[in-house]
Amino acid sequence: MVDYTIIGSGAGGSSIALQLLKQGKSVEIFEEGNFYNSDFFKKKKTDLLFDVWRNNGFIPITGSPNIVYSEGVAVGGTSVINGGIITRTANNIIDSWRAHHGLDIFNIKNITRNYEFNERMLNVSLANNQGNYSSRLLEIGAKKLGLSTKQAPRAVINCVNSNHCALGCPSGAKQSLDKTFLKEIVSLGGKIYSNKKLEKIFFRRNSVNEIQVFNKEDKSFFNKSIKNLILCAGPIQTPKILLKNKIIPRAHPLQFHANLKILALYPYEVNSYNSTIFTKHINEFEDDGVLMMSSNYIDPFLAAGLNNYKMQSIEYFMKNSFRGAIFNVQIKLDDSYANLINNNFLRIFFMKWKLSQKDFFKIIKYLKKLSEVIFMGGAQEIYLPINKAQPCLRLDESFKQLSISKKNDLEINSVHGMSTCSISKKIINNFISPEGRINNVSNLFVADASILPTNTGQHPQNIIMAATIELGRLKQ
Amino acid sequence: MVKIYTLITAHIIGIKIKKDILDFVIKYFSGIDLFYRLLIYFSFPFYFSFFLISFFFKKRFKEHIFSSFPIINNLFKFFKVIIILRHYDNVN
Repeated sequence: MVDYTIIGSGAGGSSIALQLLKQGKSVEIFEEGNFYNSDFFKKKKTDLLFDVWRNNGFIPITGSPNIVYSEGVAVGGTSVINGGIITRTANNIIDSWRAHHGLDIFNIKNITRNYEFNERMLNVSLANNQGNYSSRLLEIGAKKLGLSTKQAPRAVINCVNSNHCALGCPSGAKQSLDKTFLKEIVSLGGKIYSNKKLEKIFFRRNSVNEIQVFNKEDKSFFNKSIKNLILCAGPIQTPKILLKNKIIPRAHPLQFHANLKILALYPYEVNSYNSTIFTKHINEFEDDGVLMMSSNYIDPFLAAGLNNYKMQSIEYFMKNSFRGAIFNVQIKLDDSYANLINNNFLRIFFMKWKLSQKDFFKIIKYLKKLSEVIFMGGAQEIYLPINKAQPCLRLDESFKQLSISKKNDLEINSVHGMSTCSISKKIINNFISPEGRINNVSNLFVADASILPTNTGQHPQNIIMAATIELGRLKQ
Repeated sequence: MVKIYTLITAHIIGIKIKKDILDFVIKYFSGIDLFYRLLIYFSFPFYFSFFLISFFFKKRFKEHIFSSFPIINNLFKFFKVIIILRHYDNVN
């Protein structure tokens, strides 16, 4: 019997597994998704939705407004379908987690050492902006407004700007976890089983003694005895497993970043098809948890991003897409959360949220700022992420449309979920200890984005990995 | 039922449905959570009623009618996204 059975091979699962192996423990990982070679991502774009995105990319968070949350399901987790950005969470946030939430694992010195290790393993370097015209247009607009920009740190080697990050990298440039951490885990003797989904957890007294796993390959179930179980299935799947197995009465609210996209048409050809995602950030508003950047430019997803416009506008944009670009503003929501609702009797699980007035004004403020940057960069017309909006030919038109829009009109999507099993000591009667152990169960742990105490306001992969390495160290 | 949803939506937005798009929508739909699939099934009578009502309006107003009511708008957007995803993947 192996020492640690880990569920999920994403940021949390792969980093804690590697740490445990280094400490001489034996490890096995069960991953629900499949393993994909780079060549696999060369197939038809929309067909990839069925393979690498959970629920075909449709995980709704209902409420006002309805939003769509996305996560990857593959060996390597969401790192297979993200933009490869590896940023460090600000020291003041880490320090507040240690001081205000009473969490000793968030020691800045140790976390920085883990950051350095992750960045070395993932070959992180500052993105090359050469040929990336949409990023340069963003930079031009930012400079005219006096806003600071920075090159993005990305986990890539020899990126060829195939503009395909969100559907898996076909050139093999992106250093996702399956190409880095998981390879190292296998070389150290760790075992990774793909297409295996955790279904049930069985207990004997106060500890987990067996799990039931569904084998997706031959559609069969099998039971597996275990010593210790670590859940690293992500900020939604981990609490879902705990709720469905009646281990916890309720999860903490899901905190996340809101992503809103503005599409723009320029009077001249923009080589967006040959650029790539997120090479340059406007980091002026980083302290407020806001980043602005260019995004992947893929035809079918462009059209889908214009879904709130009439077909006439969509057809016009698609005909002129050679002179278009797409920009993204990522906003940390300060007091809007999604509640995870589970009913075991009816077998339903869904998420519900409400956008607070404060966050709504924050979104509108930064959408106005981004439209200003885009117009300053020379855009001829822009398409706002608002329901029933009209293409805006002038800045004052976009300001007017944003000013009269309501909460339900916003077209938001999200990818960075966290804090559903927050280990904070501030939470009274918390079901999880600061070491990531579920209370009253001696051998059940959580180590993924769900343990983070609060919203990071940054791409969370690096801090998830750094924190789970620290949790692994506690199991010496 | 998914086929009828697809055909109605495609008719409203003016996209000619090919077998490939229809198969794509059916495959996409079968991959989403049962909870949402049931919600979509139960909303079918409302969607179909709107389709019948839209017959009395000119083509350029049809899309406006479907996007004016919250539940219908959500269903309309859901199917519209899937259809245009595949449509523009085929076009280019």
